[in-house]
Amino acid sequence: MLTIDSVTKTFGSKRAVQCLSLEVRAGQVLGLLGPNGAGKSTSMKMVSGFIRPSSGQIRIKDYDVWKQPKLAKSCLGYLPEKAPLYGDFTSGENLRYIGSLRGLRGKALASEIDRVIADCQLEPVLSQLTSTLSKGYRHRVCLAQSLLGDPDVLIFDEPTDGLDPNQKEEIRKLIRRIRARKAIVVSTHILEEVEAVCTDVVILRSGEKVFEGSPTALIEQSGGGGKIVDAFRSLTCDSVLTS
Amino acid sequence: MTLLTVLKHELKGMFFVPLGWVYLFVFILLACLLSFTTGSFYLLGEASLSYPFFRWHPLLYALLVPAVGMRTWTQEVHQGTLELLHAQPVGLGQIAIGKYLAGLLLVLLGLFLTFPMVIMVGVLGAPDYGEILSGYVGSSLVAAAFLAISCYASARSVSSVTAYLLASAVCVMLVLLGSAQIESQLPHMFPGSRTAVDLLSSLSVAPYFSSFREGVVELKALVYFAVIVVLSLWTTVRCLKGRTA
Repeated sequence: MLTIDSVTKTFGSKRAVQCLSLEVRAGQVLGLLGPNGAGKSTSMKMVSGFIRPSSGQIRIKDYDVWKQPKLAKSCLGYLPEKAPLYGDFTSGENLRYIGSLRGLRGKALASEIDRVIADCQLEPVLSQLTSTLSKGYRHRVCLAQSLLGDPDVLIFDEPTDGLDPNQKEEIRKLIRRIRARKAIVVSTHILEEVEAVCTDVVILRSGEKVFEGSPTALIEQSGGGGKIVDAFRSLTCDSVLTS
Repeated sequence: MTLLTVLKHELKGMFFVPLGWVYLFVFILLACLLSFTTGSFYLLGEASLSYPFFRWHPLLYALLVPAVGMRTWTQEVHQGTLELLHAQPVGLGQIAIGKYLAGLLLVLLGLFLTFPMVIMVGVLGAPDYGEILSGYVGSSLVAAAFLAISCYASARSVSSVTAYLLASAVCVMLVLLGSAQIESQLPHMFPGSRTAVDLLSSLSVAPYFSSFREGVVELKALVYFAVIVVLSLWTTVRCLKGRTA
């Protein structure tokens, strides 16, 4: 459903992402891990069409994100890193606006909004201006907008960032519930996320892929520690800094 | 439909801020005030709006319309919602036009609400209503052109203040280039370059708007304003697409 083929992104002389290739199929939840500055968000932004890759190709359900943007993006739900929303509008108005932009109208729009409100438990804040929402609710409203139209490919950039443990668990439950029909990419630096929801893991370091496999295979890399955090550290720690 | 969705969303935002209300109040107040003070409405002794009323519109728009257009894109960048818009299956062109039309509706509403001036001049004398209508069309076109420039300035800038100053500077320049003082100075500023003088003079809105004020609708004036609007909106979309590079 989602194919990232030899994608490279450079900003001036800095290479943010180097020759990244991935494939995510329906039923997969791919955890994209890496320390800060590893290129996770840049990769997500390239998939969403916000940043153009310097080279390589990104396809969503066989549609090239840059050559057939409307078709590709109609199959994509995107939760950006900082959960941006229109602060002068209520949660409901934000959902209606994004739903309309996604081509939903009338009863279809109303029923989709009702569905995502129930999924993300937004009833208490539906009439509240998003500028007055807590960080957790902002994330949930933004998550809800990404689910509008029931897209087949979902990109979540730090979906549980800033949420309390109960809210985190709700989001994880939601991901587990919908993952059978969808290709999901979760970019995160919260390692517990991997064990909780991911079926596959890719680790980036300085823009390069340094690991690809299942969470079990990642744990096996830990060198007997048996913990994902040990494997993550061994793959991403800079020897100069740690010595 | 996307266009209508964006238009409604933008209009709602403008009146929430409440930029819309402030613009309407300030524009109507200044337009009427200038007519009766500097415009010498009563002293002229003519049942006409050409000199006392419409004369000030380009300068008023140059200072006020950038305030309407300045937030168009800087707000999207500031909130981070530009990233959200890029992920939706809609063209940036449609969004840009929707935002522009919302601003234009507000500006035209302000102009429409000056209709008591027309009623008043009709009560006081026998005005040429064709000339008044032509003046309103010309005024609308100046506002449309300045708003398009403001949208472009907003797409180019990071902050709304920068966008306002940039757009206002360009619009004021387009107004002043047609003034007698500047026009007489241009040959001295560009000695030996007749082309540069002619080019700069032809950029001014003054001669094109003057023909509308006098009740004459010229094709070259319509083309002039259409070129500014289309070029500004096209470069706005190009600029926004350039942000993804």
